[in-house]
Amino acid sequence: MVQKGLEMMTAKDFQVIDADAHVVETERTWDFMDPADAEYRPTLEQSPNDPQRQHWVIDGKNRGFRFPTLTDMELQERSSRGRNITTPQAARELDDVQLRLKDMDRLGIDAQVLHHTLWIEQVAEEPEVERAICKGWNNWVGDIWKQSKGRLLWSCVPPWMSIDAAIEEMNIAKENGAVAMTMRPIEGERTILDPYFYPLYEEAIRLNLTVAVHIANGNPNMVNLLRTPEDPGSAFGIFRIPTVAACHALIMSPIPKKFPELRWGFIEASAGWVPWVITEAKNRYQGAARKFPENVLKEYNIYVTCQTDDDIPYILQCAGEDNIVIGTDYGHFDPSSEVDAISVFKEQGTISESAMTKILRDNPKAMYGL
Amino acid sequence: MTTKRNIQVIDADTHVVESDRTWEYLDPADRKYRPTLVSAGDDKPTLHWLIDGKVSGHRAAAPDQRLLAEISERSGRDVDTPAGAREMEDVSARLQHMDKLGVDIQVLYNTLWIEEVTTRPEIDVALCRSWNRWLADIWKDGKGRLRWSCVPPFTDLENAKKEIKAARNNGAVAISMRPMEGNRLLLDPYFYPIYELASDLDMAIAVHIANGNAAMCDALASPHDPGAPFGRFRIPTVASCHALIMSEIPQRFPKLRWAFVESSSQWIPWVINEAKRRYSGAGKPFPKNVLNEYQMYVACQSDDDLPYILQYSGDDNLITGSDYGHADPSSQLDTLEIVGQMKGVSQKQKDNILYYNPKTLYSL
Repeated sequence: MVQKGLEMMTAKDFQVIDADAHVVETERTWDFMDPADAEYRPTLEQSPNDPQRQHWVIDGKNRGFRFPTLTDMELQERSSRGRNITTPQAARELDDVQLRLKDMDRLGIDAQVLHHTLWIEQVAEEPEVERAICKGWNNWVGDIWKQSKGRLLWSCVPPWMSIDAAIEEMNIAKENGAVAMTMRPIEGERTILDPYFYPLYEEAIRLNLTVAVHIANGNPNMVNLLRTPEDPGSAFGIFRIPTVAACHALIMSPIPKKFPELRWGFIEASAGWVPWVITEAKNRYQGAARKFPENVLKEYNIYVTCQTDDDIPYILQCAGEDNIVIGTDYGHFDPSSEVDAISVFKEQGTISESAMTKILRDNPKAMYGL
Repeated sequence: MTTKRNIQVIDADTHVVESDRTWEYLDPADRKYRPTLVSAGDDKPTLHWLIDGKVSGHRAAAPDQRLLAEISERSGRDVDTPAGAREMEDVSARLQHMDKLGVDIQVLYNTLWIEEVTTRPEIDVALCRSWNRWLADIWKDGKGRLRWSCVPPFTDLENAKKEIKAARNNGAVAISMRPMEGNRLLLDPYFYPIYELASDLDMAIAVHIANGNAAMCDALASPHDPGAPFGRFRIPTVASCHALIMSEIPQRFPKLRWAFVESSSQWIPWVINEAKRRYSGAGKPFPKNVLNEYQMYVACQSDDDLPYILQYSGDDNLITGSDYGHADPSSQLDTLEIVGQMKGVSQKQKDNILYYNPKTLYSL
């Protein structure tokens, strides 16, 4: 990690990049919406069943819980079960950008790439509502970037229902520190392979933005089907599984050949599935008499975030050293979250120094075009 | 099989391909529901089932022998089966082919129910009953070598239980379940009576790759993804294994055995790590060998990295199958022979995969 002062940092200064960190939306997020869009501003309502919880109401509909606010004691109790998930509230909600930067210093992280929290499920059904909320969110995170001395990069949220507006948002976001464009594995009734999205992919190439497929699911019917009280781990099936399926689908599709410059990130699904997906895709290529790339992730510019409990030596053996990155899931406290993942990873000592440097520095730089 | 073995060999995943003859077992009163085969009207050899006025269910592409030879050549996997053997018009031809392949026992699965067949209980009951009777007949001709996984009509639980009991008396060793049965996951308490019955009858629950939710299949189908069945059928099967590990079902039905069939086994390390992480987060102790403790068996493929996977699965919970009768990415008639010769896997582990584990799973 380099010595940081008050000066602006640039990519060449970054020795450790956290490829998956979060902002947690608050009511302040929506202060950045255009005044003309005020009617679409999300509001918080108290959950009738749990006084500790609030949910977002958007366009008259409940759009899921506001990310819960745990006390320091609750966070420490959860962290004592194995993974450190403790972050200061003002840092994860970005009310205090300098506090976030200090926390990054403490964790040995030079730069973080910020992803949303809200869009993990469908947020809006009407294009004008989606456009207004995405714009507000992108303005907010653009403002955070400006305060961050170049250390808080981010993945913008385009309004996928309106392609022209999405392209406009991508351009504004790029000028304000965005390095990626968020896609969900399933956007309503469309998968990421749908030619409907090709204009976004063309624009991402032109703007040097990565397509970041963060775990999520934008198909409410599927989410409702898979969410069950009988499965306390149902988020695995709802969010991770479609992300893994999307990677396989991408490899099988004509998209990597059609957009050879485009870079892809598959984020927060761990990397334990990579050997499986490569084997499955190879098998299908062979069945279709197609030549399978020697290193498919590298040839197709696909990057995957790993977790510290993945068998990283085995994954590197199957995927190569150039396409694995690591993230902390900073700000969240779910099964992916490990605030000190970077230091845990460094201490593991299961891979070579050069492979470690690639995962911490070179690969995320390549992935996010830094 | 060219290698002489001291043990029997059980092919834990094979298929019957339904034909018009399957529906000759329909009750006379149910003949109005008889499925018919229709062509898509193009020059492709694939036919589709028309059920209740809609194209429904799954029909394996039934190419002619020339096309099967081409697929075998192209994929490097032998998938060439005689039509009479895969459609069971000629049970003795199937047995002869098993002899040639060095397989002593096959466990037969359906083809049709890989996708949603009907949402109407009366049609569900009629078609399941006919299919189960057809398989019972095949079992009777199979000299004890053709065991099977029955198909209960899950839209009507009382009739489902009747079908399971009848099937058990006629050679069935397992109950087929899809990862998603309509709008229900296999964790749904709706299915608990089935799990109780399966425990009592000493039958396995066989979660074969499939998807009984038509809307989800539609959402994941894409003309731009030539590998879309991976997302539609395999991925939900893997998700259901994770869901089962996370649920209370293994404790609630401790005698019940589970099989996850035709989704390969390369995902096991991933799913175990994911579940372990969630147990840890919830402050729950994770079983030392979760597949063994929860009686879960997974069918491996010959291109899986078995020496690695066995470190996670343990020696006692992998099985394997040829997918006999189909010609898709899972199919390989000599799978069992390849597994039997695999390097890096001990003889004891091979014997377990080829015989002892499927014998325990299916209680043979």
